[in-house]
Amino acid sequence: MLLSRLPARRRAAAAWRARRPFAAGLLVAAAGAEILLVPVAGTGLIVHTGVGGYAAFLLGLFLVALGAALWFAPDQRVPVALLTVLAALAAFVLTNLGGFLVGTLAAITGASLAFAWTPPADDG
Amino acid sequence: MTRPLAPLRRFLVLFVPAVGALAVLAFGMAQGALPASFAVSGRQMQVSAAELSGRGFGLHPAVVHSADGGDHPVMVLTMRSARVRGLCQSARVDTPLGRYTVRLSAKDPARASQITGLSISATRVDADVDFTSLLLNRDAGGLGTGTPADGSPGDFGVGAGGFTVTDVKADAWMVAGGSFQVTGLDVSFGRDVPACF
Repeated sequence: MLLSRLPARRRAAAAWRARRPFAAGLLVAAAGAEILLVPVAGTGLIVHTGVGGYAAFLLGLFLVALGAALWFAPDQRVPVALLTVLAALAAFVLTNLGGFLVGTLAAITGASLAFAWTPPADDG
Repeated sequence: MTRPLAPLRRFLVLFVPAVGALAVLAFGMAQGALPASFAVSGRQMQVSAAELSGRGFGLHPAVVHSADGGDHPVMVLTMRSARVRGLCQSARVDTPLGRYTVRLSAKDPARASQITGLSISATRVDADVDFTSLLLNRDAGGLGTGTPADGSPGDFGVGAGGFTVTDVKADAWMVAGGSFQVTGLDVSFGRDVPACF
């Protein structure tokens, strides 16, 4: 098998990724980071809607935490995915359109991937 | 799970309703069903509007106190209710990174925003005005226009039943006491954001 030709550490990392919804968690955490950073990265485009600055900070951090939860508590992926969708929708309304839609869509996609993920068949 | 869904179907089970909810929210915001609300106060700022019309106008002199302890003589313009097109408000903010501009404006100048109980403390107002049932030098303590705040009895006051103001530009210390229903609010913050005028 192709995997067996990889160095041992890379194989271990690949096995670690296979045991959890890795891409889903990464996408959700990246969405949180994007929502978090949009008000901070000061270009001429930046938007604050009232509480938007604080909401972006809190919801961004929350999404990063949810992404971490997908990695480190993959058993809880269904409730975490539902919370992620709700947080992404809240971010759309409360922050800068959820990081100009990118963050909200990435978080929803990541949550759906996590929801669809199933643990690999127990082969060792 | 007794009957496992295919991964794609499991993906769509969450993804489709979530995007549907997102579309509903986006549609609601575009229609103004979920209006962006804000209240503003504080430092000297610019307020401008293409057209402002409504009922219950009052004007009287007053003094506002700023956070740094300064007193600023102003004229207080009060309006019981108003419809405004092309609303724009901007203020300069000194940050450690330099001078930034905060600007709130209505995206679509053709759509009117609704304001109730508006009170503007301005140092300078530049506008074309059309008043109905105007009373100049009415006692500021009882303008009787139903506006949110009256001045001190004995002061000069102006009251009007109805008003239409076009091309308003005001340097203001405070805009207060009002509820703003703005459809399509555009809020910008940055170094190269233009001021309202």
